Amino acid sequence: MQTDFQSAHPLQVTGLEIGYKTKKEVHSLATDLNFTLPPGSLNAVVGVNGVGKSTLLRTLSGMHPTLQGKVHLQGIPLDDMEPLRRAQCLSVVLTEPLASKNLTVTELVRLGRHPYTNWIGQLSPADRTRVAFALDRMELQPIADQPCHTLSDGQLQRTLIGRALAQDTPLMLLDEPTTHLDLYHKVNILKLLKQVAHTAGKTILFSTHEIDLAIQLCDQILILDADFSQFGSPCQLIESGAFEKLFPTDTIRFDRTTGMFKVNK
Amino acid sequence: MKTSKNAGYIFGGLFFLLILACLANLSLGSVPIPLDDILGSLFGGEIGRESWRYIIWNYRLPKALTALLVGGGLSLSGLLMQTLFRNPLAGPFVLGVSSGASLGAAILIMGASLIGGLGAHYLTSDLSLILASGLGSLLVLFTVLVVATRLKDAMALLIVGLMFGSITAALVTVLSYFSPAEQLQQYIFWSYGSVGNLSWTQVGLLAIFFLAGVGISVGLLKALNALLLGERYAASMGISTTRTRNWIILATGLLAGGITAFAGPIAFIGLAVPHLARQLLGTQDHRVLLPAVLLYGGILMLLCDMIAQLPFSAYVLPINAITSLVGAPVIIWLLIRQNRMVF
Repeated sequence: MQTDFQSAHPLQVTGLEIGYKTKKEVHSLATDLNFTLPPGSLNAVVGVNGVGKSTLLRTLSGMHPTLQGKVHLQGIPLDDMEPLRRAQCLSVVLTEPLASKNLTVTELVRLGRHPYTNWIGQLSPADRTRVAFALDRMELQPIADQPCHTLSDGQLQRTLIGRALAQDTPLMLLDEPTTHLDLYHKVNILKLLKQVAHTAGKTILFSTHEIDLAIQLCDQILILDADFSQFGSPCQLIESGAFEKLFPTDTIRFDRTTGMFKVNK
Repeated sequence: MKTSKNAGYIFGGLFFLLILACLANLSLGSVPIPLDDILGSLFGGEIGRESWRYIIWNYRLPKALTALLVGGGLSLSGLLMQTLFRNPLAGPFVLGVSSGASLGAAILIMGASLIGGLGAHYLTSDLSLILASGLGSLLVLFTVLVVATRLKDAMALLIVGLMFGSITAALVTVLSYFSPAEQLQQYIFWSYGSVGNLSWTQVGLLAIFFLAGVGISVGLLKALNALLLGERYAASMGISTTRTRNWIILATGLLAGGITAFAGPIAFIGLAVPHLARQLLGTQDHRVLLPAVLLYGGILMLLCDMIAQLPFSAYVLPINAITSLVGAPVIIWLLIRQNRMVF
């Protein structure tokens, strides 16, 4: 166990139980989650609506308390981390709307440098390089000076990912980054994420409903389920028949040969 | 960059306007004093009449300084509240600070008469009014802070602040129902607000509140910018949202509470100036907006005071009415002209 504790995986989850606790009762969503994300990998969380994908991401980012189990970032327990240290280990892209849509793309991406800047938020040359890198990687240069309220959904999503990328953390957590986008932009976002994971060495974990796309693009997938969650490469999960059990079989079934869901006619 | 160069010009312009407004404010009043004599009396030169020197040093200069502190301070607390609650309608008084001050003043003015005539007159001096309204603000501020630590959601806090406002307003209504006309009038005069009649010591005290509030806000600049993305994003970037929220409440309380204690509840400036400054500078960056609202608010308050003094006449209009009467059309005009609000 001691060696696990000291390993520098961007994210390591052991025996995690997620859910909500009120004074009266404990409402558990999923139990006994165990997985480790290697550096530079693209990982998806899939599962039916309400199974707790967002809760899992919130728990992993330290915004929501765990019910049981351990989360380690870079080998350090999440609970022991100072907020600033945590902000240098993980960045997030949320589904909630921005409080202010009048920031320009560049201004928004620059805010990602907050954990590194001085008391007044002044950018150093190194910070500026990092912002330029993020703008470049997310193909934001052409819209760099536009205010966020003028952006399309796809552009806004790329901007938000750009901000997380500027935060320059080993781990990036994204909550449904492809919702509201058409197929082209879904694939566009996911391919950019894959590129970031593999070439910039970031470990990315995102929740999604696009299981077919996740199967094609991700290194690993976590199938979140109340009783029996599974984690593995897409091939392993297809072999083990994990996707078949995801939805009730009376309306859709999983086709192993194509790796896609088919509607039962 | 283009924007920062523009900002330089805009700040230069604001400074120039501020000095202009200051001089005009000193010059105009029931007795108009020529500009030469104002400069003369300020910098120890020649002066036409000795009485003018007295008027400037003991009446107009403290009044102009008060206007400057009141306008700037209220505008800054408005900016803080708008950012904290992500709401363009938030102003310095949404947390009930001014209602608390009103209650303090009302209890002093009207309550004293209910308890008994003895010493009532002595109680309602200027100084005790300042103390009472200050204590009222402080009481509400601490209650809000206690509630704030129990609430997760900033929006819930906004509602709580409004509720405190309703409760105190209701108490004031009950008090005024039982009060004789004379006391009622005195209370109403207090609620008109005034930037005049402060001694140099009182202006000094007000300046301490102002500087403390501004100082805290400067320390919060980075957190305020992070809050532009929402509380959860701010938290994900290492900002402690509860601590930030408490400091924002404290700064607002010091600014709005202190100002209301010394100058009465002055409406509108705190709500409007942050919008005007955002529109003028076209940015959301608090590092730019903080000095901008201080200058802009100061200028606007000096102008409103000038109008309220009704130059060349012995009448003084309630400043509270002037701020809205002058300010509201300006806001409407700006919104229609630009057709979009920067928030």
